[in-house]
Amino acid sequence: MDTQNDTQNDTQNDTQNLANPALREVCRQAVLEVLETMFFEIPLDENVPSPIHEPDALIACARFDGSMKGWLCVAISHSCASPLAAGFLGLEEEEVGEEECHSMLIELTNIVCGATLSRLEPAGRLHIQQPVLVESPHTCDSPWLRFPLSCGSFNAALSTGPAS
Amino acid sequence: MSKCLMIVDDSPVMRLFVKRTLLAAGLPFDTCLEAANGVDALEKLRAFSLVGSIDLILTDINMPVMDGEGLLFELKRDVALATIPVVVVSTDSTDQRVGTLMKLGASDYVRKPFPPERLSQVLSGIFPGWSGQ
Repeated sequence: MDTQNDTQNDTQNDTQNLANPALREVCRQAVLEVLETMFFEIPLDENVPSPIHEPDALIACARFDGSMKGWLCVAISHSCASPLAAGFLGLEEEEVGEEECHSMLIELTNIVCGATLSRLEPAGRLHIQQPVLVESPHTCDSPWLRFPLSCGSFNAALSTGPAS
Repeated sequence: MSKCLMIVDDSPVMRLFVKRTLLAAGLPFDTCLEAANGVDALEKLRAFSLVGSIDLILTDINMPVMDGEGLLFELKRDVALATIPVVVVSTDSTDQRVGTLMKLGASDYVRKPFPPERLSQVLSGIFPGWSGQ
């Protein structure tokens, strides 16, 4: 899967992203629910989409298709990887390695994507592909919603369009 | 009253999360088999049936090789395994998907994200006496 090319192509078509207030609110609710219930983090809530400024961020993207298609990307500060993985797995930060951090980010992206889509299309039929790690936030060329955490920040970007 | 259970998920961190959540919810278990997909689960269940019995299966839906729907279908047509309660734990919670899984014989459905109390509520409904107290 060429996520970089795919996401860039998406932006050239008739798609919606987090500049749309309704979509932003759906994504915001999904992120808050996931972080609070499974990661025990209660972020501050800026609710203002903006370009991402996290040069060291860890990023994962999930593509989805079915009754609608698109992608959702999650970027977390590098400094948040261990605390979030430790909170999710009930471990001490010293017990968490790079593999656990990457697996946690992939699962986090999958859950946020599922929580967002179930709000957007509760009666739809959607398939979420396995999220993949990507190297640059510019791969997801779209406004990001930023949630400051005590360890850094959580960021989400979303692009949706009609089924092809 | 402790249980023997199986967790089926292609994500090792998610399997660990579910185990941790069960313990946090006060739901103890003696044995916890783990499988990465439906085929892996069926093989391990059939091997384990020679030495013991599994009380409960917790499974994801979206997995490679054989997904949760396929696993449910195979379980329900295997006389030796058909009565094991199956709880689906997944992000895929569209109405159509949940309806399909319940028709296939799932005992209940837990949508991710979920707090420990949600898992406890569902499992206490299936096993009223299952508690650490």
